[in-house]
Amino acid sequence: MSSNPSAGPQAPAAPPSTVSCTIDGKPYTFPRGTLIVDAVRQVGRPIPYYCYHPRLEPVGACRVCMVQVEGPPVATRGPIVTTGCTTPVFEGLKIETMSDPAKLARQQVLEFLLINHPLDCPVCDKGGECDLQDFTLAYGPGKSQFAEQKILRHKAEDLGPFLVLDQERCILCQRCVRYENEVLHEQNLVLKERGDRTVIDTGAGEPYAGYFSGNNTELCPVGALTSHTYRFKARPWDVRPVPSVCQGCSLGCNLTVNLRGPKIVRLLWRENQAVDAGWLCDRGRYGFGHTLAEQRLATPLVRRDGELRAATWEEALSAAAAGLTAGPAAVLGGGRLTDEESLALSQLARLGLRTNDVDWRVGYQGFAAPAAIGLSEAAITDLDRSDLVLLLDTSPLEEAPVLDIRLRRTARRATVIDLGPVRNLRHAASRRVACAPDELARRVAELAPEFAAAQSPLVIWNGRGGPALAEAVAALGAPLLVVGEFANARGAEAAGLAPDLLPGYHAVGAGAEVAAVWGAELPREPGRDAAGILNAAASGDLQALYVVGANPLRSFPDGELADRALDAVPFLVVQDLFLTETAQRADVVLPALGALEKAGHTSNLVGQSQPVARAVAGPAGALADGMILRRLAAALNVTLADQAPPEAETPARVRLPEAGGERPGGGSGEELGLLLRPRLFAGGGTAAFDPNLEPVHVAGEVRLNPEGTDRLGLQEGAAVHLHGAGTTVRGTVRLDAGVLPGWVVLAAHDFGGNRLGPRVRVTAVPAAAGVAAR
Amino acid sequence: MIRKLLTEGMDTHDLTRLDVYRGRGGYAALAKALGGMSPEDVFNEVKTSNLRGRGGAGAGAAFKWSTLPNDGRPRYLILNGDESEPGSFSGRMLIERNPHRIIEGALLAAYACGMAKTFVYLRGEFYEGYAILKRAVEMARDAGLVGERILGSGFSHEIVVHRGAGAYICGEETAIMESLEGKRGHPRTKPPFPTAAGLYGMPTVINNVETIANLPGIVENGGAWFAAIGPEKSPGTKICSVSGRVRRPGNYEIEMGTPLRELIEEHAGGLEPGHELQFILPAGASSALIQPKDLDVSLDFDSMMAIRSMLGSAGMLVCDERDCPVHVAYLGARFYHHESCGKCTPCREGTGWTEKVLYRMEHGQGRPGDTERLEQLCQGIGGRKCLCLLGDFSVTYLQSALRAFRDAFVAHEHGSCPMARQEVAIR
Repeated sequence: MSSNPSAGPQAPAAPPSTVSCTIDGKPYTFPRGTLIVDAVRQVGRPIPYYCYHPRLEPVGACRVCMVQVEGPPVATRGPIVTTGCTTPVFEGLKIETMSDPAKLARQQVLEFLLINHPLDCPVCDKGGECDLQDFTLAYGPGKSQFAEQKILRHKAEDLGPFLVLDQERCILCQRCVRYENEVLHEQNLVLKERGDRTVIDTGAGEPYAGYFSGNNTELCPVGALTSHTYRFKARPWDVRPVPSVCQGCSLGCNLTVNLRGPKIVRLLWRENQAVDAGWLCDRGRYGFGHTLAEQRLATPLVRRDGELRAATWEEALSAAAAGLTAGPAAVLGGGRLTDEESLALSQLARLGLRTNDVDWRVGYQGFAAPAAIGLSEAAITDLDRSDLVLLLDTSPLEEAPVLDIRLRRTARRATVIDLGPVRNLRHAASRRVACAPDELARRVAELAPEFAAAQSPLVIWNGRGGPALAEAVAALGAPLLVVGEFANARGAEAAGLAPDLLPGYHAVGAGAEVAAVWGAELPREPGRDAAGILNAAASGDLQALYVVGANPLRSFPDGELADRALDAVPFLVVQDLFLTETAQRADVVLPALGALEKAGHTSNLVGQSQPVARAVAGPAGALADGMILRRLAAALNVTLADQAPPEAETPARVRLPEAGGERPGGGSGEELGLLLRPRLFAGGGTAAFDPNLEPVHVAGEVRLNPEGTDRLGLQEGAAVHLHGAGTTVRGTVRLDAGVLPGWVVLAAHDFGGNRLGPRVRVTAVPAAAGVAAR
Repeated sequence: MIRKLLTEGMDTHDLTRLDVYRGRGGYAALAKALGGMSPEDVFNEVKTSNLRGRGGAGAGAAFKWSTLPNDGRPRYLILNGDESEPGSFSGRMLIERNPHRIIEGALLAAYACGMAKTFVYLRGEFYEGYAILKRAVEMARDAGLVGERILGSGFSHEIVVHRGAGAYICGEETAIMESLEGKRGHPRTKPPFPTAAGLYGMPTVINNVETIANLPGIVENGGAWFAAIGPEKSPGTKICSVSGRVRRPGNYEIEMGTPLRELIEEHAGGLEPGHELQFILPAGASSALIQPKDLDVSLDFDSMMAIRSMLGSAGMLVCDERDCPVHVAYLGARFYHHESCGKCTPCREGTGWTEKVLYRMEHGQGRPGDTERLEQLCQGIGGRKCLCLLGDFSVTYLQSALRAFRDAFVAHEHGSCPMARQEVAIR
């Protein structure tokens, strides 16, 4: 089709990129296309708005950002009143924000907004930080002319695990609906009914099912969407804000802790475009309940007469020091410490325990920094311009949720290849390449031509899979984003909490610079990795094991080995917030403070070290990991250096264990291959103990491809037994076409899954047994 | 002699049958266009004809087409058959009784503008029209008039008939696109205008079915022929739907420029004996009412504008002295409250408030100041403060009623109705 009936003369030259206009009489220049509301905000003039939000597309629904405009292209009509959020600035436009017609129009809109509003500010959580209150006070009429019956609606409607809706307070600005649509590409919240009967609701009336519901409570300009955790807890003028960083995963979203007295009442986003683009996930936002959980360890425990009994710190630390120096000792964990604490642990292991048997990689055994396998690093914001992304057997949604929000935007524009045995990108168009774990390296290699042709390719990987896969990824030559297994995996690796690394990526055996700072000779032989340490413990080669902020019984891929190791090792010290399965086996338990209870720095997945504040005190008997390490070091006669060793000029490489410690089997006959994959709410870290997260806790979830399940008599929701090597675990079937046929997926960290071995048989639980078990 | 361009033969023949329609010269214009005219030729004939859109706003059809960007993206044509205006039923008649004329018109428009596909959006309640039009499209497809290589030419075109879910707002040109895309029928902000970014973000023209039905005649007889019918600036004919207090309510195709008096008194048979005209709502509920003193106005876009009303869809609601303006205003308010989509604040909240006030006034519970309140409400909703025109429409008729019959409204503040109403024309 080439004909345009009367195309007319086209504008010959491109218009200038800026326009000049006046706002309230003063001249300004803006980039062409700037919306009036943005222009007015930029010059610091006040302008009210509800539906407009800087992170959402303009919609023009609330009509309260009315300004008076005069000039082209409306010159012939004289001044008119229009919405600032849908009108761009034009050359020569005169904008008046406080003219009488503009003021009157805003006043009328505010009066309209209030006619069916319940005016229940005294009992509304938003009171004090409510745009409806504030703008009514600033721009509204003093008195309403409305003398009719208000429309009555549902109050305190439960929309899901975290969200509560007050329909009467809703002003239908649609920020929540648009956020669901534009940002998440989900439709968890929708509009129902029409006109002034319109209400917000979840799609099919089902509870809100996504991971990002909490952002709605901050987007909501009024008190309509509130959270179960914050309802009736505080007034905004009573809370004290403390800026900090989320340590729920390796992304490190910025947030603000809100305290009322000594208690955390809520966490709010703190926009950092380069990291979180302003959003938080529900795990990050609501996972602060552990700070006050009843099961928190509040006193050191020492095993006496076969039982863990309360002890003083002096008793516990001297017992630990004695036990750890009685023979060869090893250290597991450290991925949840601050940067400073990681360094302290690294030094304590090398100088106090004289060992390189140190490994932070208690789950799958990968790496944290691309440099550790000789690759270049991508920035998080590179996703905004990438044209080709390889998602390599990694689920940003489960492992670093807010990164998934950015990836969904990327997937709308660019090619995203979702490679691996489980479908990981569910909410956006992507190219799904399903393959078994042992085919990954070959499939990655096949992508080489496509990557060579791409302008700005990128790989997202959690580092699991072993050296062959790392080599294949390296051959693509694309920058890498490594989604870390723990919140501060990056800091742990950089601190040398690995058997072949020293702080600053100096290789073990080549650590003269480190030794100079620490003022002591270092052990020169590379140590054993997590699997090696556990094997050594199981075979009696280790005298003691020091587990810091880790739970290998749940997290190590071979739970059976972890079990044998903890049984065999003569002396076990566990440092944690809770009496985990691993801590229950310990000889000494050292109660530590949590992420929001100590200060320091944490490195996110691109190695950006962000400061964290001590927002709350935590249990009185617990100590910050750094303080525990300092006191333990003193008991071991080691003085911890304050100064960090310098970075190596060429970072040393990390040795990767085969298949990342996973033992993928693949199905054969009646047996299915077993995969353990991260699930956000399955109980890694504090999630298992957080009362706020209780409603979304994932346990016993058995994900299967629907193909062939009929034959086994397995339907959605059916109770099943998984029979593995010598043990049986019970679970509930979730049919999932995103799982490769022949495989079954359990949540990593969900207790018992790592005891099954590489292959399992799945059988339906007989109905009678199902009833009895309940 | 009365010229019938659109309804010709409709009363005597079953034009829904393809053979009958073709037997009476149907699809000859399409054959002519595809046989020897270029798309530009067809466009130029329409431009010469000065055909103006029959949906209400009266924009030049060719002008709308000419704003399509020439950027290689697929273009879509939407036929607006959402006719939801109270008192308007001309489109329904065309759809149900002359569907091939609409199909032929659509094909001509599509040929002229290089449209990739046509979507006919029908009002949700048009079950019958939907079946008839769908069947007509199938018949045309079987005859090689729709689909690939139409009439053996290089021109291919598909027509999709879609029935809405029953919403007045979906007659608004951007809400229609949202609805077609499977979303809530909410209007979009403009700009961008549909011709720049319309259905699925592609350049889109939205024409009323009656506008489109004019194209076969224009192509067959030439734009100049059409331009000579009726007033220079509003040429052609218009099907007027007349209802209410007249003896012969119905659809009447008249030449543009025909006096309103002639339509009411001659075509529609005048008012019932013994009753006198009080006012006419000329474009359903969305136009300013016309008082008897203006009965000699010409029925064309510009003359109607001159008396501060509009031709719009020409759905004439005729009310006599038995019909209390407050009652009619209440019915209108109830309609707009029911049909407001709820997207923007003034319309969503204002229409409900207006209905509540008028409900009280109409039910003997008026209060002093209600009339003034209504005037303020109209001012708060109208004047382009809303996202789309529904808000303005919802106050236009009311403002005109308040101007013309203020005394009646004031009387209702005190619980009395001066009209001594016995029955009403519209419910």
